[in-house]
Amino acid sequence: MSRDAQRIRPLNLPRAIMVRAGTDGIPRAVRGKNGWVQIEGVRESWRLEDLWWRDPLLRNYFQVVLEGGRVVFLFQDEREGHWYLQR
Amino acid sequence: MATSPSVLTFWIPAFSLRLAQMDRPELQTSPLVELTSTSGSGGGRPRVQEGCAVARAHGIGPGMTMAQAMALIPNLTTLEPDPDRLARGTQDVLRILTQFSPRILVERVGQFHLGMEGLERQYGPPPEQIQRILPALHEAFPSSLLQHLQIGGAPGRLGSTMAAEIARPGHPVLIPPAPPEALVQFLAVQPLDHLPVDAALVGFLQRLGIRTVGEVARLPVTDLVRHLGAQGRTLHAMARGEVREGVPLLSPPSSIRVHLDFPSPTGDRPALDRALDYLVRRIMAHAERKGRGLHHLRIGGGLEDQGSWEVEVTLHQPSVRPDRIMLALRTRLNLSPPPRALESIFLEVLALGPTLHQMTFLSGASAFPDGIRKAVRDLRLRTGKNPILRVVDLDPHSRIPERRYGLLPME
Repeated sequence: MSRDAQRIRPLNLPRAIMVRAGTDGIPRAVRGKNGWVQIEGVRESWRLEDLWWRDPLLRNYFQVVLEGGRVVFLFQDEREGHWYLQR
Repeated sequence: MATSPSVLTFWIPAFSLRLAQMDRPELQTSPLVELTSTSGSGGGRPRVQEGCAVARAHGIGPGMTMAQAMALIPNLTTLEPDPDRLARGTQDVLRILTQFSPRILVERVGQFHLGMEGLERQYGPPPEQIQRILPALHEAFPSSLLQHLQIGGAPGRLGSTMAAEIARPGHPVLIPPAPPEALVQFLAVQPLDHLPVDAALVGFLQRLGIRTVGEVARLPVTDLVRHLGAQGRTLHAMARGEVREGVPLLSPPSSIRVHLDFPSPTGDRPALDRALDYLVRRIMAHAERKGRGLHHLRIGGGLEDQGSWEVEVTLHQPSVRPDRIMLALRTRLNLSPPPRALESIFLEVLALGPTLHQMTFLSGASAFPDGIRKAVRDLRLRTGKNPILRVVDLDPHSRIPERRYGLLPME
């Protein structure tokens, strides 16, 4: 079992992404393969705080609609300030 | 430029009621409503599902209680829902329409979309296509049913649906494929409530004073997305005539269906359970199942006196074990029992799972077919990595997305 545990690769790891955010902290555009893509709207946002006793995790999640209609999940790591894309 | 799919829509409003009137001509002259099903814990008192033209003219509409409807028309005739008759009526129309195109979709009760792209050379332009299809329908159905048929045609399902909505019987409304603006101009003047979208969404926009599809098209898309999310973008694209979906190929109906007639009507649960157990075993022995697990099922039957009842059951995972299938069926039956005694009961397979071999493979058991085992070994030797991974649950309810599932190499 422990051998299995070592071989498991987590699915859906966050991927670092460049984001332009407004002064209110809400994302406005994301950097795609072919340049900046505007965010047409934020459908939902929520805050995730976890693992405070070991390795604190503070994330501000946004479910956004990109120009063209694609829906993606973004979050900003509050401790380091970086943005990530996650499905 | 890509061409838009050519679609014809045949729509018979209040299709269930029309079928009942076709079967029982004495109902042609009575004010008539179909009631909602009362089965299930949320069923409650029956309400009006749909009314005939006379009932509608007296102000009877969907959602009214029987008492409210009877207050408006004391001699109102009420019909129990009859999903079995509706399914047969739908199949009868499909049987005719499949003679003309393999692309057919039943999007809502009584509404049949026919994909006609690529068939112009055989049948001519849309008006001629309709002239070819109508005689075939008239051969199969009486004019008492077809006198209510409304026909629309447009590039794409959305335009075709809305054209059928405003068409009068005998006078099809056809939107030409060229110029492309023809569809946009047609949509622009249509009332908002003709758009096939959520009624709550239409209500929200109407409260803001928006009345036509054209007014939605003129709104900035960013405002719609801000207020309605992704739905706002879809709505905007629909209103601008940018949604021009074709009609998919018709999936053949399930051929695995078993039924049992009761010697006398029964509502007794142990008797229904025994009947279902018998039907499950018959389905498991059905040759067309070909070793595949059952995934999506429909149970139903004819009700004593009038009407029929049916419910659908989706198993969490396809199963070949009768005890697991029965557990799912019994649970569903507890939630939505038939409202009255049943004269007959049927069980139909709507979707099968993978074959037993595939299920074993997907669940990670060691009994792979030899060919796959050899291919895996060869790939591992060649690449130095295990080429097959399976998804395993780690903490599926974790708040942290990357902790929910993992990939584990298969041995």
